Amino acid sequence: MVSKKRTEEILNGLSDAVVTYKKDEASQWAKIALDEDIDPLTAIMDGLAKGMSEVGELYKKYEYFLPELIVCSNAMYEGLNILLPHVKGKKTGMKGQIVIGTVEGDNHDIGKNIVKMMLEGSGWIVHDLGADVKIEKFVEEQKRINADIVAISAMTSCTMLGMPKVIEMVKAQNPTVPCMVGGALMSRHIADIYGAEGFAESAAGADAEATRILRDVRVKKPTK
Amino acid sequence: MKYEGLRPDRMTQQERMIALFEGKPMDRIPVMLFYGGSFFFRNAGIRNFFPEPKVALEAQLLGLEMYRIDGQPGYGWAERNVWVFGGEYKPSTSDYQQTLLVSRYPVQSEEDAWNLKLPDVKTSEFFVKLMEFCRLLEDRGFTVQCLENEPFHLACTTTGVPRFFQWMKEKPEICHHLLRLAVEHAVNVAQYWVDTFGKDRVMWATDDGISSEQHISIKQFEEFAFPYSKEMHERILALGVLPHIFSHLCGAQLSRLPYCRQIPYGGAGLINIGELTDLSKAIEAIGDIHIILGNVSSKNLLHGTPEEVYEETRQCIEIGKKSPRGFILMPSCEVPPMTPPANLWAMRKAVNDFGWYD
Repeated sequence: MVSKKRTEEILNGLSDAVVTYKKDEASQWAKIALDEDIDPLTAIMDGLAKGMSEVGELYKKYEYFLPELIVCSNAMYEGLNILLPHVKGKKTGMKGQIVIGTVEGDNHDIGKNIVKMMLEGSGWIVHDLGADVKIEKFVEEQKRINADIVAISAMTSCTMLGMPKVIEMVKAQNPTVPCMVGGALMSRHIADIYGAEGFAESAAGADAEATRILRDVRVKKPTK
Repeated sequence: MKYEGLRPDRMTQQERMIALFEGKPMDRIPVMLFYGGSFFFRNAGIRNFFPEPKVALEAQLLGLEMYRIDGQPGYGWAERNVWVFGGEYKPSTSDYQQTLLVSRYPVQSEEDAWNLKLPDVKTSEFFVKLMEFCRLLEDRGFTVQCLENEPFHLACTTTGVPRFFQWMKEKPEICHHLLRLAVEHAVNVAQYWVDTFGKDRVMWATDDGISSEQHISIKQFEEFAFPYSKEMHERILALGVLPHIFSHLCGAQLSRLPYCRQIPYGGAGLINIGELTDLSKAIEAIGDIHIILGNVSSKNLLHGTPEEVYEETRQCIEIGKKSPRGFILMPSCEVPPMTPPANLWAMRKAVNDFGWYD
């Protein structure tokens, strides 16, 4: 059994590797975590995710910008790719499953990718459909994996018009599945008009918003 | 809104613009579009983002006349340099699409970046068409206009934004190499246009939304964007393009605006700000030396009601009319192709109702 001090050292190593965007170190610490029998889910949540949370705070404070977020996320994925296959069963302990994509007609995926990274770094299982995703694909994927949330991104004002269609079709299939929307021109007001439960001003707020809307749904419809 | 039609102008568009550039009185504020092409193509029943030059010109002339908008037609789209530098687009497949979608960026690897060659602007298919468009403009008595990305935007266009941003942290030397190419490319284009149409015959326009505050830090802007923009403007002006360079600065740009004091525009520049940049603060920052253009929300044009667009335009005019070096009412970005026609008309009506200087 690894000591508490050593566990902290490994978790901090993972976290620091993400914050300082050192891919090699993230990989090394992830392997060490497995070698020394640290629970991989703990390594993800209290190591990599903790690091991403710090990255999110730095982003909120305008100390980190998109270039930093991209390289931090690369470090996180370096560790995540090693640890995730060792998380047993249905990944209980993860927060939930989210289908995410940029709506059809829109190739802009940097914002969507940052949100995905923030969510994965915070313990969500994210199914990324990519960019220029047909409206029906969101609906099919939600059904296929029984996703808890559908997240839709759009950068241009025109492609935003596809969002309410996605939401309408998702709700028609399963009215209890909450949707969240994001993009450079999005606002809470437009999110409300579109019928989306979730919206965050920036990627840094995506985890909190996803957590909130899922909690709201579960309060309304307790699990059996 | 009143429904009494528009008051007749007391100046021609040309007289108004000359007065604006010379800081003399005008009858009313000018009202222009950054790019109305996609909207006007749809307006004319054309479902193509990149029609042939003559078709594109006619559709825009019709639209400008219909909506009584000043300014002149343009040709191009945000990521046009993907094509110029050897990338590819996908076929249009969605009714929600606003522009051409990139399927492959020219630079996929570090090796690609180092081997990237400057395109021959005389034979590049896009520039052949743009040249044809400009000749048609000249034939119609308009000023020849050439729109080119600011170097940072262009360099990101060769790689795609995520790859460029990653390299800013991990391989900055590659970014500087691409930025150098971007400057040289813009200078090549300007040289070709000046050689073709003559000195003081070419209006230069630029656009950049990628170096905005949402994306990169001010330190990164100072290293990767500002010096290359400054050099490009200096060299293009030295070639003999017309003064008063136009720059469309999309996204949140307030902290970047003071740098427009150090970038030469050939006198007062025409600085078009997006809806994420506060108009009052932009005027405070550079309104004493540059003409400010903006910033009716493109999002509002698409999603708002005519009354909302009218009111937002009124507010822009109230603020913009006080800009010391001059003001042009303009949407914050491209007019979305699916904008309700009544909304564009509401913008124009607000200029009629609140934009007169008497």
